[in-house]
Parts: sequence; C-alpha cells; structure tokens
Amino acid sequence: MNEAVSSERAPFDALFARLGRDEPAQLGYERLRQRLIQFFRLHMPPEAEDLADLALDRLARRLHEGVAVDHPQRYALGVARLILLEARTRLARQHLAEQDPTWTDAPDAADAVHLEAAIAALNGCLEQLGERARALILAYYTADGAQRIRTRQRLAGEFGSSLNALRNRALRLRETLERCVREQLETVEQFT
Amino acid sequence: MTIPDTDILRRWLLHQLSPMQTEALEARLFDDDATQDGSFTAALREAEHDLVDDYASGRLDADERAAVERHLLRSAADRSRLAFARALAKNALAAAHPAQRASGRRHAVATPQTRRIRRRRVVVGAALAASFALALLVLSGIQPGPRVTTPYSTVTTSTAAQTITLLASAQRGANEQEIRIARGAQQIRLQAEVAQPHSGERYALRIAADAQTVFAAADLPLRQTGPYSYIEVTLPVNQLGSGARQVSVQSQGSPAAEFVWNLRATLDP
Repeated sequence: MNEAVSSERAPFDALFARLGRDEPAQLGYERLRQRLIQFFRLHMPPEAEDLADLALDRLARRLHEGVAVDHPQRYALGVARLILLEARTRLARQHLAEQDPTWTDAPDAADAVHLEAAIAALNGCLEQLGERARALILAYYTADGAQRIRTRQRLAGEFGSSLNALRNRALRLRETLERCVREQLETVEQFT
Repeated sequence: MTIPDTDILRRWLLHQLSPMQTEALEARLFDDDATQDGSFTAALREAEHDLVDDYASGRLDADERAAVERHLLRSAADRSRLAFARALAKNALAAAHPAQRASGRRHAVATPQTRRIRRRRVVVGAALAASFALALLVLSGIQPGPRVTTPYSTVTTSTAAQTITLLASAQRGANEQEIRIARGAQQIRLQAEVAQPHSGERYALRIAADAQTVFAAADLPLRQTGPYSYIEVTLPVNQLGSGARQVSVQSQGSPAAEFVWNLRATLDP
C-alpha cells in the first residue's frame, strides 16, 4: 500500500477501532459526525460540516498518538469547543462580517419568482411520494404552536407509531423532499 | 434521560439560554444515554425545522425573526431550506382553502383618506386575507370556524376571533367601507399592512370614533407573512363597537409616515 495513503488512514483506523468497541464502527462514526455538525450549526452554521470533519480528524490523530480516551464522544465535544474558539479568533482577525451581506429579509421580485418555482417543484416532488407519506408530511409540518404538538400526537396514534419513531420518519421524508426541491430548482436555474 | 422540551430546544437554537444551560445541553448532545437512539438530535433537528417553518409563515415576532436570520439562515443551503419552508406553507394554505382561491367572491374595499402621505384601501379578499387570517388563527390555536361570506365581511371567523386585514394598495376614493362583525365573534384581530417596513422599527396603532380614541396600542413589532409586513392587535368586539371608525398606523421612528383607513363597523344581529 502507498505509504502516504497508509499514514493518512492510520489515525482513522484508530478512531474506527475505538468507536467500534461499543457498536458498529461506521454507525458510531456517523452518529458522532452528526452530533458535531449539530454542535457547530449552533455556532457557525456555514462552516458546520467542515469544522465537524476537522474535529473528527483531530480526534483520530489523538487516538493514533496513543492518547487514552475513555469517552470519545465527550472528548470530541472538548475538541469541538477548542476548534470553535480558534474559528472565532480567526474570524475576528479577518474582520469578516458574521452575516452574509447579501442576505436580506426584505422581499423582492426575485424572492417572489423563486417562491413560485419552489412551490411548483414541491408539488412535483410531493407527487413522487406515496399518498400516505404525502399526507403525513403535510399534516406533520403545517400545524403550529400548541396545535402542532396535538397534531403530531394524533398522527403517531393514526400511524401506530411512537412519537420518536414518527419524528424520525417525518424528518427523513422532509429531507428527501428538500433534496428533491433543491435539485429541481438547481435544474431550473441552469436553464434560466 | 429525557429530551429537553421544545421551548428549551428553540431557545437553545436562538441562543437565548444562559451559558451554563447551553454548556449543559451541549454535553447532553454528546452523551450516549441521551442520544443513543438518536432521539435528542432528531428532536433538535425538528425544533430547527419548526423555527424555519414559523419564520416562513410569519409566526415569529421581530426579535425571533432577527434571531432566526442571525443563527439559522446564514448559508446558501439555509436559503434553500427557507424556500422549501415557504413553499410548504403556501401548499398548506392552498390545501386548506381551495374554494377560496377559485371563488372570486366580492370583497369589501375600504378607501381610506390620508391626511398627508397616501390613501389606503381595505381589501378583504379570498386568498390574501386567508393567508393572513389562517396563519394567525392556527398560530393562536383557534380552529377556523364557519366562514362568513357576506359582501363586506372578513374571510374567516372562529367562535372566538374575527380577523380584519387592512392592505396597502392603490388609491380608489374616499368612501368608507362597511365591515360586518359576525355574530358570536368576541374579539377582533386587526392586521394592518405596512408598505415600506424597516427592520426593527416599532409602530403605534389608534382606532378613533369621531376623533375620540376607542383603542390604542404602541410599540408593536413588525410581522411577516410571505412578502407582506404588517402589525397586529387584538381587541374586544365591544371595544371596537359599531359605527364610523378611523384606523391609523404610525411608525414610532418616523412619525411622518402615517397610514389611515376609514371603516364603518356593523354588528350582525
């Protein structure tokens, strides 16, 4: 095996070996990565995935160096907090605006057109779902306030599922739909 | 270990918790007991989706909107999520009121006089008023009740509240228009569109009868439903009363900017 590749893989081999003690290594890795992304989304959303990968990289290197890690998830949180401090210091030094200067809450003509395109894309993507899935996602995400909780509890009863299981199902459906709508809109933009 | 309730998760996402609370929740995020089945992270993702949905549907106040924009809508991917949320909200409204979109019912048009700046007209119409009224009725937990369809009345009522929407639109005349208050309505939810809103600005609203103030409210935040910015007050029906009423909205930061509508409120017997 190429020595350079081998040396890059070695830390992640150590990470997988450690995560694989309590559950399948790949599953543990993905769960940890999702937690890190959630953490960084709370603080630096545009860089969340990159920072999560950086945290995993550093955790892997520590394990490869022989650092004893009793609880890799909590250790990862500590690494993440340090990375967050570094990232904030970097941004402060670079004097970057925290908000995208092109982002505005003022609606304009482009927003209206984009909304129409998104509605059309959503209708198309909803058609691709089964009837039951379509009914679920429309009911699950369109109530609000106190009604939202009652609706979701009612849906869990109707689907014969726990609230947690229904939540996971609704999240997967939503992510599928969001991806579908995004792809449709990107296709439209290519031809306009 | 239990999942934190929705309110805590929302406040966490909006960075409204104390540093100690934040640190404790972050630790729980990485604690296997809390997240082994993924339920904590799923609940957090759901709370984030719900916040974006509320933003897209105009259910947040100005401070919450600013927090969502600052913390949850910062990247191109986030904008894509917002577009999805807006489309989903529109889809839900269309599904809830298909008849209204096709009906072409007559609508009340109030033609307000301006003292200085411009005239405004009250339009109580199908899709537009429905989008205000339905979003807010759902927000308040009030189920939309029977729809009262008279030539001049608002679009939706419930057993508790009737919504009146005042839109900024082209001038049409100075005649006041009739607003019929449905029998059984106990409160009026009055929404007044602000044509050129400024983020963070607060507004005052006054309702007068023969130059006497019957209702006043100040420090009102701007709300948003789709492309429409508006302020909202709720008052008892008997405080509005019946007869000629003048509704005026004034920006607290720019008092010269004032909008006025002339109405005639009639209580259904």
